[in-house]
Amino acid sequence: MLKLSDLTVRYGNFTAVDGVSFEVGAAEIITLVGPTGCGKSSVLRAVAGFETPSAGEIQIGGQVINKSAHLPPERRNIGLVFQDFALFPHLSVVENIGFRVKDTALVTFWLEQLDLGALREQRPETLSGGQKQRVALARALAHEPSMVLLDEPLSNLDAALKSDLRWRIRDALKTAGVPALWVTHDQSEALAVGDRVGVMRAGRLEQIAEAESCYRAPASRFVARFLGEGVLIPGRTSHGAVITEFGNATYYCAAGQLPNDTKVDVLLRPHDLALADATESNATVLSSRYEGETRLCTIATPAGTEMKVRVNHEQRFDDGTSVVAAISASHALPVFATHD
Amino acid sequence: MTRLSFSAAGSFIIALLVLSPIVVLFLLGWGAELDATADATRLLINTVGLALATVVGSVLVGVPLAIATAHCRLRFRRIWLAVLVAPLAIPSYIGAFTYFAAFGQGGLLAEAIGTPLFNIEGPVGTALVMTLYTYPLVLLTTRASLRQLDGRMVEAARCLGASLSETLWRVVIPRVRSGVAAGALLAALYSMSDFATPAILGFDTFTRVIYVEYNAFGLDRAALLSLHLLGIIAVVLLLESRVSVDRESGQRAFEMELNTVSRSLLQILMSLILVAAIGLPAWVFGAWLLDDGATGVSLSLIWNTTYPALLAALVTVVAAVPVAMYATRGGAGRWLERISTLGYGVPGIVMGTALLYVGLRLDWFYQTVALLVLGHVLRFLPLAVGPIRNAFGRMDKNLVAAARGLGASPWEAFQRVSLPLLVPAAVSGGALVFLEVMRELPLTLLLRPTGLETLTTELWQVFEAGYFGRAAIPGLLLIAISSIGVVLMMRGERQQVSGGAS
Repeated sequence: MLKLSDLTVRYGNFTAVDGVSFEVGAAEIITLVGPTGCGKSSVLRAVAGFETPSAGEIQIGGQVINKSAHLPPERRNIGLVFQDFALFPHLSVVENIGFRVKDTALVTFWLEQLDLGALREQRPETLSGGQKQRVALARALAHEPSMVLLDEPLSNLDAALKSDLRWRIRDALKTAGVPALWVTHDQSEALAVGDRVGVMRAGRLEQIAEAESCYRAPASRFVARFLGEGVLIPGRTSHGAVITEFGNATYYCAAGQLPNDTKVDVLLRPHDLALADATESNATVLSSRYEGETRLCTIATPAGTEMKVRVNHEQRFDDGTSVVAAISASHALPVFATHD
Repeated sequence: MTRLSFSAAGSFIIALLVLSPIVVLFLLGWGAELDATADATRLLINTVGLALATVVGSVLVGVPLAIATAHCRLRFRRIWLAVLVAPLAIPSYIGAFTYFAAFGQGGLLAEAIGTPLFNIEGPVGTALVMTLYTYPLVLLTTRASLRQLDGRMVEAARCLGASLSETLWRVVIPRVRSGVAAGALLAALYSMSDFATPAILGFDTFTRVIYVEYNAFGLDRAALLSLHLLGIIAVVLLLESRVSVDRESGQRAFEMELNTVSRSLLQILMSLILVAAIGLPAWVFGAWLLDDGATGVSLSLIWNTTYPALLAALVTVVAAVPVAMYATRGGAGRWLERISTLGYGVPGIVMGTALLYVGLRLDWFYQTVALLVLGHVLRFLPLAVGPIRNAFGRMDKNLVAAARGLGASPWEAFQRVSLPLLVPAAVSGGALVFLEVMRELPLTLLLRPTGLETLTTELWQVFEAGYFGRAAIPGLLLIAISSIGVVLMMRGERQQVSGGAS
């Protein structure tokens, strides 16, 4: 469907996208996530045809696009959904959706599918942000694209709308059965809606995998820190396990099994630790935040490392309490070899 | 990409066209010999002198009126403001013409009183009439600056023991200096570019003598004089570009309570100015209407006035689109746009001289409506480029991307998305050009094909022939046209200031 091979996009001396390769399967949703300026939007613009690859190639439905073979956006059969909606202000909702659609049944179908029937004659300026984004999505899908590109589709909406609209967009894409490339800077959005998640940094694709793999088995320190909360603490390997100041655990290393006694950084997420009152403590509770079912404690080690630990809501620690923190995770902890 | 090259090529060609009259003037005027009538030094002194006198006059009248309409508690303040700005809508040829008719030899006023008053012809009269029709420029820019001032500043000064007049002089005026300067420079440009006032009141400035030379078949001398005039206009434009009107965010405008005496004095003063700028022309028109009635207007006159103006408006808008499009891309586009606005600074009589020469060299172009239209387009292009560029700037760039993504070609995206969104701006820009062309005199006078008389040229013929009464109806029509133009222009500026509601 869509295949990027070593895609590179340069603006003058600045390399926005640096050798990115991946493939999007039929009806698959891929989210691209990363901090501002990581190149995720440039990937999207290159696929859409608003940027020309400086090197590498893009294959869309059998067409090959590279530095010398350009295909204008209108011939790529791609649906675009923008952050700022980009609805045509001079056209009504139904005219927007049916911009170049011959088959009015399709327009009606997507109007109904996205609950826009009551708004069909309205002008975009009268709509709320969530309605606008649904119109934009309906417009893209009614044109029967072979692929949909979404550029931060939810970042102009308020938090309450986001979580709802997230699922509606995903459902609509699945109903249409088209592959999609969804760019966002919101890691929870990326993890939730993507069949696979691609994490980008400084123009490079650090990892692309199912959400759970990215979260549980990050390919790099960057991915480990970027997705979810967590800290890296020092440890050392010993016979397939890793030894830390909070106890031992099995480990997973993207580079493969490590020799014994290798110095590593271990990723500890808030739910990987347990806290208990003890006289021989190894940490102090700095603060705790009640979150309903759980309580999120911030603790500090004598060495000054701060980390977050999620505990059961029944456990309660006053600020300044000395506690013993121990690894409770039963799964393998990601480790990264330190080279020094 | 094709869209880019289309707008780039378009604005490049238009910039070349705008520059071409200046090149033509150089080719034509180089080495021309000036004689006593066209002594450049004398004309320079006269023109600059008139500009200075106009600046002084318009500041002396405009600034106090700005303070009065911005800060004094007056009844009907908005109405006062509207009528005090109204002289802007009286074209200079009408103002000068009516003054000539009233105060000139055997004029209406002399007749009414029975004895000739002072003679309006000459430098003093020209400067006076010029002041009467340019002070609104200073009034408007100064008032705009005043309205931005923070009223608490004035209260602070008063608390420190400054009297009201001391406060005005030491706190208020210094902070609206750039606003006053902007208006004064506009007045200076107006007085140097205006043809009709000095021509009617017989004061030898560049514009008047350029016309004299043109009539005497001295086109080369007219060109050389035009270059001189463009030189001093360039200096003023340069000064103008240096005036930065800084914006303050006025928390609260300050208001002055006047006592009965000073309020009455102010109202009498404002009434006097209105009598001079509007009352006198109205009285003259009334007298003419009584004498000659509605003679002098024919259907062909109306048609001849409107259709070249309509053509010019259409062509201007079409030409403005690529310039505006390319300008929003920045870089070279901004420069080409700036070049395309130069024509607005070229006085009509100068543009006419240059294009007349082009016409004389190109037979098929000479004495055609096309040449006339070209002249208007080159001069009034900025009136259409401005609003269209703003509309483009406000337009979400992703709209075109969205259309392309839905499968529309660049041309289809332009036609179905960009163009409909530009229509309101194009209409208002086009309307402005249409109105400006209809009230334009000197360029039309030089470039119209023989037999094509418009309202303005008819008015000019009437003046030259001395059948003043026949000027009544064309004059009133022109004032009406001109008023609509002024209202449109001021509304457009307000929209720009407020960030342009879309």
